[in-house]
Amino acid sequence: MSYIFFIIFSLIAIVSAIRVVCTKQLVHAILWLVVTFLSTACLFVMLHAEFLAAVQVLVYTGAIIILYVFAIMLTTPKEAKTIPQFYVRKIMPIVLGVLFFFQLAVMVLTRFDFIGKKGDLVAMMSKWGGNAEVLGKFLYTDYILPFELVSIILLVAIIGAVVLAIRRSS
Amino acid sequence: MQLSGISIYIPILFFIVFSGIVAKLMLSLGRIWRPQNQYSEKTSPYECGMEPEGEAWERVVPRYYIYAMLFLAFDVEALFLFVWAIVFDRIGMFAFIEMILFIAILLVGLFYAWAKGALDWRY
Amino acid sequence: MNTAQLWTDTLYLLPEIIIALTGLLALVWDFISPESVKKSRLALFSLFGIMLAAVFCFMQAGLDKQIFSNLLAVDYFAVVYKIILLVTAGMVILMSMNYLKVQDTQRGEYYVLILFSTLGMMVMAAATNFISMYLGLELTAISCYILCGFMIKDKASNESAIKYFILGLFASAILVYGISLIYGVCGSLNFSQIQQALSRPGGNSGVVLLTGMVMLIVGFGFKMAVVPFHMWMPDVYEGAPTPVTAFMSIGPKVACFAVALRFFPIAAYALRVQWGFIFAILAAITITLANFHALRQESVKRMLAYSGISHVGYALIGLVATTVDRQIGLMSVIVYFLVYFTANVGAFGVIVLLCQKGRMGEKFDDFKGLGKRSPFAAMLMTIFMLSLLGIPPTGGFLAKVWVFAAAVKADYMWLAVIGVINAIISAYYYLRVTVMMYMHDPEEQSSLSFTPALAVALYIMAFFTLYMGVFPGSFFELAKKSVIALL
Repeated sequence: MSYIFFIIFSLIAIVSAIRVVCTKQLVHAILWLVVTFLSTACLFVMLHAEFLAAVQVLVYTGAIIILYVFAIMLTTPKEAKTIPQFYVRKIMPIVLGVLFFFQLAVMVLTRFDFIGKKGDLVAMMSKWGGNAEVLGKFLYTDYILPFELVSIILLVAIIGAVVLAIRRSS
Repeated sequence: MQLSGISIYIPILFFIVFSGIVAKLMLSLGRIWRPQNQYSEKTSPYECGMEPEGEAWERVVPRYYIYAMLFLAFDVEALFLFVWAIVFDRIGMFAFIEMILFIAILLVGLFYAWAKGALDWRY
Repeated sequence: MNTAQLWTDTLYLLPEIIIALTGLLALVWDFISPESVKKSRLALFSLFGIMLAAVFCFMQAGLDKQIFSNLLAVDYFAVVYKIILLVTAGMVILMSMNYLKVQDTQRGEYYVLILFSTLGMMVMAAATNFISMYLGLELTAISCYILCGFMIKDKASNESAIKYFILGLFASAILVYGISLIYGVCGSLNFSQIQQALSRPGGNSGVVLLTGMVMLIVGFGFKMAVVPFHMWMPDVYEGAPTPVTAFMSIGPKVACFAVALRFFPIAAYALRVQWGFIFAILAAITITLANFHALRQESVKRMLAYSGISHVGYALIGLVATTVDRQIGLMSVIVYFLVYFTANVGAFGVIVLLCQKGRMGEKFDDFKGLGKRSPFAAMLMTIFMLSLLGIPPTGGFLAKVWVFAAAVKADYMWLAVIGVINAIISAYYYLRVTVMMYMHDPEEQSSLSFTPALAVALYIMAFFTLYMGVFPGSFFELAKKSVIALL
């Protein structure tokens, strides 16, 4: 049952991701990206990573897509409306992309040998009451340093937006 | 809590599919029953208003981008608050202090943007 | 992990906390004070914070601890690298004060971004876990993107920022993907646990692991500007404000190398054959190609960018040598960066000195007759060039000898030969600056004015460049202690 849903959602994600790359209209590409993000969120839900799914919807489909749309609206319409057609310099990226795809495919299909120590997520989850709770527990005890660094990174992002986009009124 | 099945999400899936069907159904029923007499005035964006000028795709001021950026920063903050809110009673004082720190650092960013005029609307 | 543990760990984090607090206070100070307040006060405040952090760093020397559940290490190695980064940041701030005035871009955020970027690098230097490493890297990188485009009215600066931003993000994406593959195989992001996983029988093979490792090398290669991932660098360096270029030519590279030295020779030692081979080839092409590009440059800033690439190549030779003898190899890299950073910051400082109103002072022609216009500046520049080239009285000679000796000891004779040949070729472009300064007549007669801040920065860098060449003992001791902490 869940296998069928997994296939459905991953097919939607893959097809819309291909459409993102192939479509000529930038705005259409962004809309397809929304579909990709949402179906990825569905996949996260199926893996019981509900919090990740929420992140995917709130941050990616919410905030990041808005950023993309504004970025496109900032550009001159005539220059940026359509993506240029096939040209010679695209060959190299395509070759590299295909090679990389096959490499990953071989990698996944052969053997994914795990050599580390396995944790026990299920026990943790039943003890704390869910995936997000376990995440919160680790984030706010063991991983507080990265957490506080994130706030400074966000602050730097705000500074960057203000510095680069606002001309000082003289 | 049942960890194995994803069946608890079936109602949500049903909800999504059903709302999609309803929307589609309403539109297509409208298309069937409504009177069909279209002329060029009727299909213009503003039937009784000014003739629209230029293209729909206009360049916007970069100021919009700053709003989007600020929104993104505080969106991420809200997400972290969410995870914190469901466990902080079980973690203790330190989690409380660090969240205050986190919010304080971002507040500095907000006040900075405010003082630099990022929140005023002028061209 | 209990609360008391967290409080004591916070104490060990004092240098980083001081830098972060200084940055935050400087930001607040910048926006609450009226525009008329001189920004040089902000610079002095930042310098004070950096000095305080450096003092606390020195106090940590000799400790050997893992803090915040093994996310960061407080050891001698981290201390040495943090000191390098803090000194660089301090010198860059000294250099910037006059430069920003001349370029008319005095904004307080500049110093804030330098401080936050330094914070990110310090975290990287101490990171023993991919999570803290990556966040440090992003903090560094995002601050640097903004600093590159800081002169918003200058087109070259904008171009530099956008190039750095897009390619930097691409590199980060590859890096993160590589990390996720390694995490998938090893089940941990912690360096010591990765080491344990890899040392299990059969742990050092597998397609997934090797793919992850290669992507990690590519990501680091982008960040350190190793050929063939160096394309972004000369344009970015040329367009960015010169003090920022000085900062970027040291900071992110040194921090990336700190991570590489913690990860490859220690955690991924079981895979040394694979990464040793890749790094050996990368080092050889990096040095050679960067050298030949540097020969053709007309801008000293661009020439220094390419020379920076080639120096990363020399340092990579030391990293390759760790496959056989870890102690010698690691020591040679640490000594190399100690020497390289002083000479490079100094050389960019002289360019900043030449930058006057309406004249960037970046071309070879701008150096014409500097020996007559300002004999002292010419002498300092000569010292820095000789050190970058590797001529005996300066530190550069010893650094190169060590790296090549490490390569020979590790049976990478061919790499050492390539290195030596390239060091000889590099004489052309380093000495060309000297020739311009002493054997040509000045194009303009105006004398150069040393501001006190810039003069202090140049003196300190020149002093250490010479001191390391004449009395290298204490610096070897420093490198040795930090390597022992690592192994």
